[in-house]
Amino acid sequence: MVEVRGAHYRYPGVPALNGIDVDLNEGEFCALVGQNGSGKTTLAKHLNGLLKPDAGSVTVFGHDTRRASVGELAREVGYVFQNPDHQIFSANVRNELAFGPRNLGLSNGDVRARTDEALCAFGLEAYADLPPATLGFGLRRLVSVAAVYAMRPRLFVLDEPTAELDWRSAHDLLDRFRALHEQGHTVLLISHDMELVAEYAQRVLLMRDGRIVADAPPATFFSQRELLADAHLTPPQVMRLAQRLGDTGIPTETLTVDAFVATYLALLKQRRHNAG
Amino acid sequence: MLAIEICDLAYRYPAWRHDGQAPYALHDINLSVEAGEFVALMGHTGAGKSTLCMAINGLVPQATGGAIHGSVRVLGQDVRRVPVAQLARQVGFVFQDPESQLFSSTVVQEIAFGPENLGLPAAEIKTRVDWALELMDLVGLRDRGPTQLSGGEKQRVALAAALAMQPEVLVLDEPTSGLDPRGTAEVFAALERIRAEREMTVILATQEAEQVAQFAQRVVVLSEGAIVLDAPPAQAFAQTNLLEQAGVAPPQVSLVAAALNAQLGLELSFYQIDAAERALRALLADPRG
Amino acid sequence: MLASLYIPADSWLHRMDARVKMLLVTCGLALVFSTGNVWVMITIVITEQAVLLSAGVSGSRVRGVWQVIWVTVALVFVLWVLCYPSEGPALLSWWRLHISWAGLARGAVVAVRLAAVAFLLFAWLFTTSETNLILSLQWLGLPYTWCLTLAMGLRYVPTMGELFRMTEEAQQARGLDLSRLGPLARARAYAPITVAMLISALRTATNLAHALDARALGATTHRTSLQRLQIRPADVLWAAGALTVTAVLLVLRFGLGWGAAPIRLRG
Repeated sequence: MVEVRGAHYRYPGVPALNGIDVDLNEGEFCALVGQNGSGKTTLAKHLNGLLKPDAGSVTVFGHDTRRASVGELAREVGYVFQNPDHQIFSANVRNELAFGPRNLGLSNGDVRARTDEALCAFGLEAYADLPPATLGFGLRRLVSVAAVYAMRPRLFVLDEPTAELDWRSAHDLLDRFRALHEQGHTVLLISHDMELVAEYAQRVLLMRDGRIVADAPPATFFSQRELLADAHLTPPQVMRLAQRLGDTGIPTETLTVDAFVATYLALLKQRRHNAG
Repeated sequence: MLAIEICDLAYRYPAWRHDGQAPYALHDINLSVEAGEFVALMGHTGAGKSTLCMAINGLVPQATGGAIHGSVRVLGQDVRRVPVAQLARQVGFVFQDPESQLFSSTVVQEIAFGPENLGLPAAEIKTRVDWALELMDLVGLRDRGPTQLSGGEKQRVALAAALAMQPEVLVLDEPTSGLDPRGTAEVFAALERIRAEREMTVILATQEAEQVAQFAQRVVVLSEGAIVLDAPPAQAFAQTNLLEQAGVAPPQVSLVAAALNAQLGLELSFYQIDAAERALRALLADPRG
Repeated sequence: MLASLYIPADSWLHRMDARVKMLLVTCGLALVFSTGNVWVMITIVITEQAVLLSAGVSGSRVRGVWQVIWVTVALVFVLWVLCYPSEGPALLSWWRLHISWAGLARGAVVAVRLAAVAFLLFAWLFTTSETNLILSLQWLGLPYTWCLTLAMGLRYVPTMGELFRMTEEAQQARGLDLSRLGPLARARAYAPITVAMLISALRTATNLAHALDARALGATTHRTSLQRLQIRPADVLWAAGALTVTAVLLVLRFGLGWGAAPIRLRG
């Protein structure tokens, strides 16, 4: 449970958050979208205490972030940074994954267990003894995610985890998070990829100029054409197609290819039935 | 003359350990590109797109080392022999990361850097810089520093800087992958303007299927270092199973076409949204057809 | 940290020819190192602040420079006073320690001299664009690649600062709690941050090398330049004025001994 009340934040000379009021509920899979500079990353960094609000409050799982340290909040909030190379430093993948649990003060046995589990969960067993810095980008991305996962946070904040990943790797990664979500974790996904947002998120928050200007389930969110155009966002292609064919009876809130195909086939069947 | 002629190219990067050997980053690459073609290069992360791009301007193998087999000729020149700086006269390159390819204190200076290296007279440099600024819609930003620009603006500067050398071949290695939707739109609009203005051979490595559908005359798909598909977009995007195996996403409408073809035994072939709308409407109007 | 070392503006100092600025910096360094008097040194530093502010450099930038150097300045002062015996009547005498006004003044001179040198260099770097910097160094005879290396090093200083900050945040988000650690443990705890940063820096450097190659660096032996340094009449006046003033002050210092002693201005 995250509660943000009237949060304001300024970088030197630049206002970044201009009054944010939002609640994140436990077990939600939420997407945070908006142009670069809208305040997405700033808001996300308030959730694990990296930034503290100048005014207003942010409460994460009962901790007031102004009083708790980043280290304390790291137990509950796992922040995956956009660039995996900002955190990779170890001589091998295993040590990299162990860094987080060690910082939490776990016993060697527990650290070992968590590391093994993380290696397994992200398919990294084969690379356990290799230096992560020498791996390809996709693998480095997995290592950075696994490293955060090893800390077993309740809330995952993913800052553009699929940028520069190909379609399949991106889906694999988000499928894993969907599985974690089903196990009860809360996920906040910051992304520019509207197709992924449409497919995975239950709730979409749109930020603009430091404010939240939309908060809706994806189907509703992507129907608000003016709002999206203003924010330079386009709905997934299949949704635009559905919107164009709205007059034929296709629901304009179709989010995925599978959904579109299903409704189109149903419609076609109906027409054939009527025609013949 | 072929702009790019690649025969039996195989390449591997230098190994991390002196006893080990890196796997082949590229193998069995055969690619011929005519002057003026727009080729999109797609593939999963680590498939070899960047390596192939860098092989076109000689960075592979001259800057990266490693072992190369086969031949790569660009505008008749052997990229293994001709120094990269000389090849740069004819091959412009835009890298993925804007941060590490912009190093001057102002936009104007950044664009002038290439022509200055070519030893052109100051008046000629000025003409080229003004032309590039105009084409990339950067005139208002000419005196800004690189750190003050947005992602889309930075990549447009990188494009302008490459264009100022007036290359015949332009290679772009995932120029929009780190950008927000607005930045991506800006870069593709800029590419469109370039196409309208100049006959240039363009090699664009990208994941943006919708833009590829709009611009490319040819789609080359790399998977695990080898070319698995080389066809015009209409044919390429129809092969959805192959693309999925290669980790590449075609435009969503192609997936719709493939699914409907599978279910209904049709031969729908659209890969862009306008054609998709027309075809789907037509089908609904005449369900038996 | 400083967003970028060069601050674009249109001030008298920005317009000055880069070579004349180099001359002024050299004269300034000559004066700073020739005087041993604490009042002169403080006056120099105050003048430098005024010069910077009048040249369009904001107060916060100037404060930024102080933030970077004050610890070193204070440390040098303390160490100098403690380690070097002072002449004259003692203020404090205890075992080997012998501190007098003169001693304090001398310590202050050495410490403030650091600030004076720093501000001279910053005044130069804040108001000279990378291009002009390169051109002026080339005019002195430095090969182009050396000038480019220097200028790019400067351009990437703020980027590296930014990178350090981001790496620090990334590691903190993995539970590295720097606030709870004492100074020694904290220094050790920075190891993951520095390593990650070095790896990133190496990657950036490799990409940069590729980018330079791809823009034909080294294609010809005689590279040309879009911009050119141009001496204006005002610059000639500045150069002449600076040389004259410096000569006069040096004569006063070495000929008459003014500004040599730590506290007394004359003799």
